[in-house]
Amino acid sequence: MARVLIVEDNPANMKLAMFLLESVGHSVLCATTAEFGLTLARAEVPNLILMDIQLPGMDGLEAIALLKQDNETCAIPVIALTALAMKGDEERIRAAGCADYIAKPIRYQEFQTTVANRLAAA
Amino acid sequence: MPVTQKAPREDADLEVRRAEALVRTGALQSAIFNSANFSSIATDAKGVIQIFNVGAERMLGYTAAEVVNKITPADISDPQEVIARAQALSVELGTPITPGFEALVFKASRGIEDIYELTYIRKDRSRFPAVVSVTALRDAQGVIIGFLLIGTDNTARKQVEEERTKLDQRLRDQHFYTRSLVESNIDALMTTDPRGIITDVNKQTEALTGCTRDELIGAPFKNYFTDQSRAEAAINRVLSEGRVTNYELTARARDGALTVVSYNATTFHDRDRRLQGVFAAARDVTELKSFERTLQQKNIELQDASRMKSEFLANMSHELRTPLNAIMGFSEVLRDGLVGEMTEKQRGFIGDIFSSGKHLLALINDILDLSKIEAGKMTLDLEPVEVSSLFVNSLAIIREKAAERRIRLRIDAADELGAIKADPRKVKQIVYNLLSNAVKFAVEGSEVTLHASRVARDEVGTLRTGWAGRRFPLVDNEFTEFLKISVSDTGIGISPEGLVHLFKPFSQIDSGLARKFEGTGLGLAMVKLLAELHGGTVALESAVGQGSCFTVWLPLRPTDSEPIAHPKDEPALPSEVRSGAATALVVEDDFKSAELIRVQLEAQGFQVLHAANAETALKLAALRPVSLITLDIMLPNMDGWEFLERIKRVPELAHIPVLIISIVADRNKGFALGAAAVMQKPISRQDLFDSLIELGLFPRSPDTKLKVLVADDDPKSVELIAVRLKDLASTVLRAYGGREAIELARAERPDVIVLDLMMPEITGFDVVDELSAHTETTGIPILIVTAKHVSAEDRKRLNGHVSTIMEKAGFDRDRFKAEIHRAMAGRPVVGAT
Repeated sequence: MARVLIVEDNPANMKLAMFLLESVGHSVLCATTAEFGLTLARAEVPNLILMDIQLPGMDGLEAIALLKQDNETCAIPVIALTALAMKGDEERIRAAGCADYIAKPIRYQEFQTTVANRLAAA
Repeated sequence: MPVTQKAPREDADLEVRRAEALVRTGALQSAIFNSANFSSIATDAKGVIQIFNVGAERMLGYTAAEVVNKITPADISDPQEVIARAQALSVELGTPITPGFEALVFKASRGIEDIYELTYIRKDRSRFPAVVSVTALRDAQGVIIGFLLIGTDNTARKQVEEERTKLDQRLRDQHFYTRSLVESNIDALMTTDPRGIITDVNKQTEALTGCTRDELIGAPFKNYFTDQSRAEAAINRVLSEGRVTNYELTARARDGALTVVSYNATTFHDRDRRLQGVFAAARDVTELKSFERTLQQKNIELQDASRMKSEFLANMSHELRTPLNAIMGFSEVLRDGLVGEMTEKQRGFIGDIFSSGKHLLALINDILDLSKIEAGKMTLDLEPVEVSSLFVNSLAIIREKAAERRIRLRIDAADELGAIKADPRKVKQIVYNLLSNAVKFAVEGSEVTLHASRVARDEVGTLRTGWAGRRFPLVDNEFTEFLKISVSDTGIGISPEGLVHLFKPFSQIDSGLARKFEGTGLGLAMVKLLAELHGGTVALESAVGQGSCFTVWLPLRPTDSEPIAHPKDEPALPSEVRSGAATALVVEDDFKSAELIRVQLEAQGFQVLHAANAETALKLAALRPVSLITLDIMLPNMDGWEFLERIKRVPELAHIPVLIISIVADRNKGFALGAAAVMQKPISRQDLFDSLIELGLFPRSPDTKLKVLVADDDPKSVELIAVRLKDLASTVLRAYGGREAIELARAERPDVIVLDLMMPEITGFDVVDELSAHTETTGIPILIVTAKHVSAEDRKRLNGHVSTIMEKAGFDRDRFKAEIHRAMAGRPVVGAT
């Protein structure tokens, strides 16, 4: 099973994502800030990163840009997991380098399918 | 007087001289008296005419015989003038003068030279002006013996004088008129000579400058403006270009008051086109300016407010979605039993939390949409839309809800509706909202009808049921034909009082209803706004206890000249991804073909993306997980073959089955390049369906109508499930025991079996074992729906043979439907085991 890094500042949402990933057997790494997320990504090189976009300090888009610049981490697929769901948000976020985009509130089946497909494609 | 004696010699000389004098005098007299241009009238001392010469005869029309010794000159003069002259002379000379001949000769009689104007009256009573010179005739002693009145006809001179007077008057009138024009103008007017020296001004200019007319005339024009060089430049520009318009200057009055003026000027010329100067009008625009500034300020404020509103909405959306994520996420996994078993009550409560979360999410989305429309931010993405396929799609979405309440959906639409140019997503939303409303409020088991037709503009707003109604005015636009879409139901209806509140946001008519019928209360407001956005309108008719009919009219925009391909290079992605639905990508440049394939694929349960060219298709395939690609070969730019080659070279995309649907269907080439199937256009629904089965893709959906076997020993449970299968299954086979279930399964080969576990004698476990042991029945998907607590051991026993296990307590329609889908697709079920 895969190792998945979640970058998410809201504890309840973090718990939900952890539960959904662990329930299908993935192991989960957690970061509540983009900065710590980058550190973990470089140190652990997970198979997949789930990235919240609006974060305290550095935001998710910046973090993705840094991940994509780094040879160690540029190949890790990133799925945006965000409450930014206004018109244009998805395009903007995908353009920043996200392989997939999941809007909050999530439906767990869509979440599972997206994660599974992305891991399968990688 | 005594006569003196003279000498005879002297006398003779005197005689000679006298005779000579007489000859001279006589010659002179005859010259005078015979002049035709002078009227010479001589009278005696009393005024009686003695001599009336040829000139007098000619001028006055009398013969000498008619007047001599008969009348005085007063008789041929204007009597009124004679009276007036008498009065005037009386005053002038301080002595009473009788109106009559005396008045004509009085001055002369006193030795005063007298020439005056007088009107003579001819014999035929006509009149003419004369200038009369009067001389007294005296004898040697100086005694007056008569008077000589010499007159000239003054008519010609008088006429000239009159003309001049008239001309002068006209000039004065003209001047007055011009002046009035100049003065009555609200603008400050002035003329300057070519050097910019003021030559004339009106009162407004005096007011503007605080200077008098006299002070202004002769002064340089530029002196009265704050920016003198700019004022001078204005004059120069008029001189070089002939005119200047709306040139802004600020005038400074003597007291320092500033006035912003709009300066408009032209040159003016005389008859010979010689430049005379500049005519200028300066309009006070101070108020206009301040109004403009206020307007600009307000505009900025509005933009700020609008931006702040947008930011607020974006923030609100984000801030509400964040906690909602945990609420909905956890409640859904709990409800679906992913975390473990719960009591029926717990599951019910959790379901309430989840559906409340869904409701809240719908509210957020609707509010965002509404505020977008109200802020004028929502724009129409017009493209050709097949009306009938749009209806079919909208009905498909609502079918589930309708079936739940056993409501029949019927389309009553003319076949030739064709395509309209509209925003497909918004029209779909209109139709969906109306249908969803109707299904919500219709009596259980009744019918909801979607009616559509083309109507002329003057029919828009026509109601037809005879129920109480409410209409909204149609905005003024150029459209002459409209698409009328009505949705009618036989439901609770709306009271006339209730009609007033409809179409307003948040106005489900009474709170009691709001509790009974879920909904955001924004649906109809949205329908109205979206219809108006298209240039159409809405109406509704209703009667309490009978039903309602909602109607929308959308203008028919001509579609002819529009290219039918997808308008945007970057395709719009459907915002809402239905969970569990596989995505098919239709690569097809012909809109009608694409629509046909889309409808067929959607009927098979696919979510469909469309790309009008290969380039867009490559982008789309990379963006979204796609389960199937249908490919046309004849495409603009990159053709289908090249697309196929390319997609097979991308490792992430190579596995996607590609179904070629084209007129040029070269099977060998297609298979050689890696196509999964090659089909020739036109394709039927059955062809496509067969291909999908061959490819092992989700072959069926609710719309294809399944044959379902329901097995439960409790007839009530069988019926409950049968009702829920109503829109999914065309045939529901009922088995009330294990034995019966096995027999029916073998005989009928159902598409899917819904099986209870706890049955007497032959249990569900036995049925599963039996069916999986025989090749003809082993492939039939089985859904377990049971009231039994399913233990780990039970699961182990069933594992590998059933698609899913659902507990009756947690029976959820959506999930049931999704499970049927999965069962048909042979997909693993998340968290089911």
